[in-house]
Amino acid sequence: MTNDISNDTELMARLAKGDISALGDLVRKHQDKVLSLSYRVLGDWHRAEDVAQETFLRIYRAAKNYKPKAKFTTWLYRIVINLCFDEQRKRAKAVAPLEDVDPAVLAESDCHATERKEVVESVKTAVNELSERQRLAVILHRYDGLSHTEIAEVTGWTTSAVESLLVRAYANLREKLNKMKYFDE
Amino acid sequence: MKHVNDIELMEYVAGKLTALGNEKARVHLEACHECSVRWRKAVELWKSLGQWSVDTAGHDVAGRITALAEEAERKQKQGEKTHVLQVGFLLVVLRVAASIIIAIGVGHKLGKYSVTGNVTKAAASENRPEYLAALGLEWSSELAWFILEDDSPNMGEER
Repeated sequence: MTNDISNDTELMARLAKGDISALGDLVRKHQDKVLSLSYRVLGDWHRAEDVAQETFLRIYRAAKNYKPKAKFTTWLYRIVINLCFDEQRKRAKAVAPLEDVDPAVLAESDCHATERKEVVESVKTAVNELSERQRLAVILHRYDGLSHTEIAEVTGWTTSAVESLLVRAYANLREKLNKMKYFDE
Repeated sequence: MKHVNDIELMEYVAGKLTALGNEKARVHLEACHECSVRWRKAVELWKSLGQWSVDTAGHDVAGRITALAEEAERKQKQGEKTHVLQVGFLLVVLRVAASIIIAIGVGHKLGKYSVTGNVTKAAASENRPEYLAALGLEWSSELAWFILEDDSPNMGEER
């Protein structure tokens, strides 16, 4: 973890000196995290890629003034979340599709794959039906592995608010999945 | 007996409790049927949520981002060059303007000490004929020339 932090700081220092290859290294290192987070929040690959692109361009522009006060990933997540919120506000009136169907998933034809796909669809639907804050809290906690404190740092909410959101979000998810006959009562 | 609360249970399932907290929760869950049922449901939910994996393999944005950054860097450098040129041109203009102002100032100052600068209008007024002086006219006055033409036709020719 410490190596990761120092590595990010070194990459930012190189970028500040105008070394564009450092930006490439940063992108390659973090793009999966950024893409999956923005995709889960927005439910659209095209918009997720736009957010990822803008996130790293903001990092590039801010490199000269970057001071490693907080963990790099906390800053990174904060940028991604703000951009996702902006994107959601822009498209508030439009109904966002839950997902483009992955051709690789469609190609799976065995019974287990179909069943798994149903579960995944149910989970996605349930997560997307949560309120914006609950959804974000769950995504950061369950899929990005952030602690309550880290979620609070990234979102600007208090730790107790994060805990409250998570408890309600998981309870809602259980209820929604029950309604979809996915869980036994 | 103190039950495991929702947050502790969530963190226990996520494997994020401290070693001590983890041990306490484990001991309690083994002894408490109610909490073990809650724990089972929590694990079920956690695993179900975990099935939503996102494959980012086909979405490599690194090349696009570095290309955009390089483009921005190039434009910035070009902008700096233009800026330097603009500053250089502005300095030349300022130098020329300053030279003109200094030249005017010096010329004005020196003009005060020139021979022609000492000629006063009073001299011309002193030589005017008495009749012009009586009328309160100067040589330069149009009315004065009318009077002079009447007196001497030659004066008009000279004019």
